[in-house]
Formats: sequence, structure tokens, C-alpha cells
Amino acid sequence: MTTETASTPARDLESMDDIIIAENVDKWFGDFQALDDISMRIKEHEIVVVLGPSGSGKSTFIRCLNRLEEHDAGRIVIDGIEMNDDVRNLNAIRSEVGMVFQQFNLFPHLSVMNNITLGPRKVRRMPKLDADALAMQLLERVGIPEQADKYPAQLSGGQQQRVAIARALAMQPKIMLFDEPTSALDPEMIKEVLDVMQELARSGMTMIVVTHEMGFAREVADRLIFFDEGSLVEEGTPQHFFENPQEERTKLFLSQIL
Amino acid sequence: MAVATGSAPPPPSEVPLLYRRGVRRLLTQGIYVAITAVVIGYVYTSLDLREFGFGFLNEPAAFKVGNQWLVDVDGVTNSRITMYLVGVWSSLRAVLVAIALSTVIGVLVGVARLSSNWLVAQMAMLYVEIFRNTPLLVQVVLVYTILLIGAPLIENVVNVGDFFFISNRGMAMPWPVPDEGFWNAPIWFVGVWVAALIAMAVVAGRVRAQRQERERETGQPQYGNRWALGVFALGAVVSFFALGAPVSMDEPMIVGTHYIEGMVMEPEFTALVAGLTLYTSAFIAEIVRGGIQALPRGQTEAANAVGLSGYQRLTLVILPQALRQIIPSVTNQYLNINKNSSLAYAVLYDDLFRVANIVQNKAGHALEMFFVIIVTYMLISFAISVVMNFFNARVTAQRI
Repeated sequence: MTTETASTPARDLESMDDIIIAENVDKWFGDFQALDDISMRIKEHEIVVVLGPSGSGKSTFIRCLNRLEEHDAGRIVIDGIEMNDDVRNLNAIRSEVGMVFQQFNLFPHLSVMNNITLGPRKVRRMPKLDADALAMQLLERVGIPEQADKYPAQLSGGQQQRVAIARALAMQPKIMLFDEPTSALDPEMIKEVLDVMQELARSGMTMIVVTHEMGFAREVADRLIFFDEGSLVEEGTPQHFFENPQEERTKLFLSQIL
Repeated sequence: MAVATGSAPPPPSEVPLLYRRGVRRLLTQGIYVAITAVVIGYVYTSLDLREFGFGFLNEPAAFKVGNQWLVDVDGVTNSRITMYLVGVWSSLRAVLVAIALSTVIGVLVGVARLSSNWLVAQMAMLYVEIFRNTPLLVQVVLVYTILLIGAPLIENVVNVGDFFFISNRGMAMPWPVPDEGFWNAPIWFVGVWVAALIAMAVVAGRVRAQRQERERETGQPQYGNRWALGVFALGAVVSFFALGAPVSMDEPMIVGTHYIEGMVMEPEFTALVAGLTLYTSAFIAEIVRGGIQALPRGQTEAANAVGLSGYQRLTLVILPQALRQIIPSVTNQYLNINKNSSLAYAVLYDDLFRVANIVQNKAGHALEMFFVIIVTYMLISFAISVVMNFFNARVTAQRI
């Protein structure tokens, strides 16, 4: 993992490569068009926050980026790897992209430790001792090393989500996708998860975050993207969005949630 | 009890006798005791008339029992209870083999029904629909008929290298049997072999420790457990043969119209086990499918996102959780296999029920024989439940 801890506010994104390229992506669920001609480029180390009302396609879009959903038309390239029917490409992409879910989706039959080490040991064939050491290091990073031997059901929601972040990081991904990571949490636990995500952003991780946390979007994001009815309506910096949004639909949405 | 509002209950003396709770309880219990006493009294007097007792089981059998395996009794000098126990052993054999096979096939078919491959899923569905919607008795008799009519006569036996034989008298193959005197082998033989085994275990432990050490140093997997197991197995086999190997292969031969020696799987056994397996595996397949589908979709997605392969996802994430749902229902299916094994009667497989019927035909004592039969089936069922409860306790130990 690259660590560029000090580089946060004024990062020179222009000089960096596009790590995610989406061109004219369409996605249909039966007769319903969930994504309509989405094109987007995201640079390495960039933090992108995706906004939009529910059913706008924002979750579907990031789920297409590690093929939890299969796009029907268009092109997606992750770190130079074409997303197509080639199984090798799919495996390569999945090992570059970590994902954090709204419902955590920890493996309830495994301890916190084994939740984190499962991927490294079984996919990367890492020896147990190394995987355990890596897991402890990640648990330190998300602030709950003392929970290593517990089971998910014994943890609070915030702790579970932090374990889920550690589990995704254990595969040493270049890109992290967050699908409404704080929406299922009690209000007092949201901050502990956002703090971890903020630390991750400072470390230089490329992040795409679907969230309704406007404070996080304003502080951390390099770029905001607004989805509505399967289309990409508007994108820009946090300043642009919060001070001078252009589209009517964006204004309406922001007026309802701010 | 504190009653905050409302009028106080009337004193007991004002409640009519039949509406008092205590009186009602006493009344129902009295009726229950009276009925039980009548039933027990009737049964007791009936038994008394028929001289209820199990002494007849110790008399000589004077009948033959087929489908014997690893036992050899001719029924001339053996008692009736011995013959009955031979039948119990035949039942157990069929039940255990059917449980093992139906579990393997049931899990495979259940997983196949959820396959994203259309053809595989349809084939699995066809399997389930055929075998769970036709009677077990029909399946057992059908397989038996196929084996009797379809397989060649023993005069035209299919002979695979004098090693494996197929005819309508069954399939025969070699089987290891201990030499004469194996069970009273000289004490030095057992002692030396056990010592050799212990030595091999120590060596295997060393190999495992070395491999693990190297794994720690190089970071490459060194498969310590597999190496240790291999070393131990090799050592055990080599030392066994070095000491003269007092076990020999019993190869089947055909004499006249019969197999002698070897292990023979008669058509009766095959038909019963095949029927029980086909029928029960269809139900187990549905139980497995239900157990998997009951899991949240997020588990599959999380396993995919972590990068697990389809097989790893199934064995490391999905099945371990689905077992919580699966085991109680599968236990019921195992109990059904035990009880349904009595359909052996239809293909003349000498299971416990058939032998018990022969005993009863010879000796009478129907009531005692049915008592013995029922207790035997209940004991087998009880044993299955105990084992399955142990597994169930293991998979539900962790609250999820």
C-alpha cells in the first residue's frame, strides 16, 4: 500500500493516471434501466463521493466496478484491466478493489481475526502467521485490536463496519468502494467509521464512497458526483456543489438533505 | 398478585365447584389415571394369558439367513437371537451405506440446483422431482428388477481381470481378511507394531514442526499436516508388511452358480441401498438448497468481493452457515432411512424385520417379536439422533 500521509489538501491529481475508466456504461434490470450511458474517469488517490436519491443508480454503479453487477453495455477498465468475460481479468480486478457494504456482511461463523485473514490466506495463499500479523496491524489501524478473538455478533455496528474495512484492506487493494457504509449505523457510531475512512483517505487510497454524510463529502472528497434516475447529472468539487450547483435536480436534492 | 383496579375476586366458597381451577385439574388428572389403569390392566391380563416371555429366543434357530457379511452363521447350532442379530447387522449396513451415499449425492444435487449453469440446474431439478415424487417401495423394487433382469446370468458373468465380477447374483470383489490366528497373534507382534506406530508418530510430528518452521521463514506454504499424515501412513504400512502382514486379500471365485469368498454385493442389498439413496438424496438436496437460499445474499457478495473462488465461497462461507439450517432436517431424513430400511421385506433382503418374521413364523410369540423389533428400530434411531445432536451442537455453538 502506498503511504503518502502528508499529501492531503493540495494533491496534484492532474499528473496522475486514470485508475478507473467507465465509458458509456448501461445497466438494465429487466425493463428498468438502472444506469444510462455513464462515463467517468477517476484518478489514482482520488476521493470521489457519489450522491443521489435512492434508486438513482449510485449503488449499482459502484457494484459494477467489481462486478457484483454485470454491466450490459459500455466499457469499464480498472487499473488497465478490461472488465470482460475473461475470468483471469475478473480475479485480477477483484483483488485490486476492496468493498465495504451497508450491511457489513461479515462472515458470522468466523472470528474477527478469521474474517480478516480468510482472503489473504485462501486467495493470496499467505502463511497463517503472516496473515495474523497483518490482521492485527489492520485492527490497530481501525482502532479495535482488542476485539480480534470475538465474533461479529458480539460487536457493535460501528465495530463491525470497522472490521469490514479491515477485511477489505487485508487484500491490499488499490481502490476501495464504500456502499453507504454508515447508513445502517446508530448515529453515535457513525463518527468512528468516518474517522477510519478519513484516515484511509489521507493515506492515499483511491476511494469511491456512496454516502449521505454531507460533512464527510465536504471535508474529504476531491470530487462529488450526483446521480439521478440512472444518469450522471452533475459533477464537481465540494465548493462547486455546496455553493454553486448548476442543475435543478441537484439543487432540489441538496435542499432536501442539507 | 397485585390487582390495581376492578372488583376483588369472590371468595372461594362462592365459586361453583366445577368452575374452580383446582377441582378441574384434579378431575382431568383423575380421568387420565383411570384410563391408563384400564389399559395397563387389559394389556397385563392379555399377556398373562399368552405366557409373555423371551425364553424362546434362546432356542436353536433351524433356519438360514442370507445376505451375511463378515459373519458366518448357518442357523443349525445358532440360537434365534443370534440369527436376529445377524439381521440387525444387515439392516445397519444398509442404513449406514445409504446415509453416507444420500448425504454426498444430496449435497451435490442441492448445490447443482442453484448452479448458474442452466443445464446443470435443470438436471438437478429433474433428479429431485423424479425421486421425491415416486414411492420408495416402487424405486426399491424397480432397481431390484433391473438388476435381476438386466444383469447377465452367472454363466455369462462379466469378469474384469478375475478381480471384479458382475452378474444377476450381484457384484463380487476382493476383500482383505485377517489370517487365521490374527486375533491371537503373539504378543511380540502387536507390541512391535504398536512401538513402530508410536515411533512413526514421533517422526511425523518432527516433520510437521520442521515444515511449519520453514513456512514461517519462507512465507511459502509447506503443507505440514499433509506431510505428517503421509509419513505416518507410509511408516504404518511398511512396518505392517515388514512384520509379515497377517492379512490377505480374499479373492472372489465362482463355484457352480454361486460366488464364494471375496466381498459380494447381492442384488437385494444393492436394490435396497440404491432405493433408499435415490429417494432420500432428493429430499436432502431440497434441504441443502433451502439452507443455502436462507442465507443473506450479502454473504455471497462479500465472499466474491474478498476474491474467493466459487468452490471456496461454498465450502468456507456458505455451507458452514447453511449447516445450522440443514442438520436438524437432515437428521429427520436419516431417521427415515432407518425406518424405511424395513422395505427390505419387498426384495427379500434379510434385514432385522424379515428375520424377526421368520422367527415369529417358527416360534409364535408375535407380541414379543414386535416388541423386540420396535425397540431395535428405536435404539438405532436414538443412536442416529445422539450423533447428529453432537454435530448440531458443534455448528450452533457460536451464536451468529
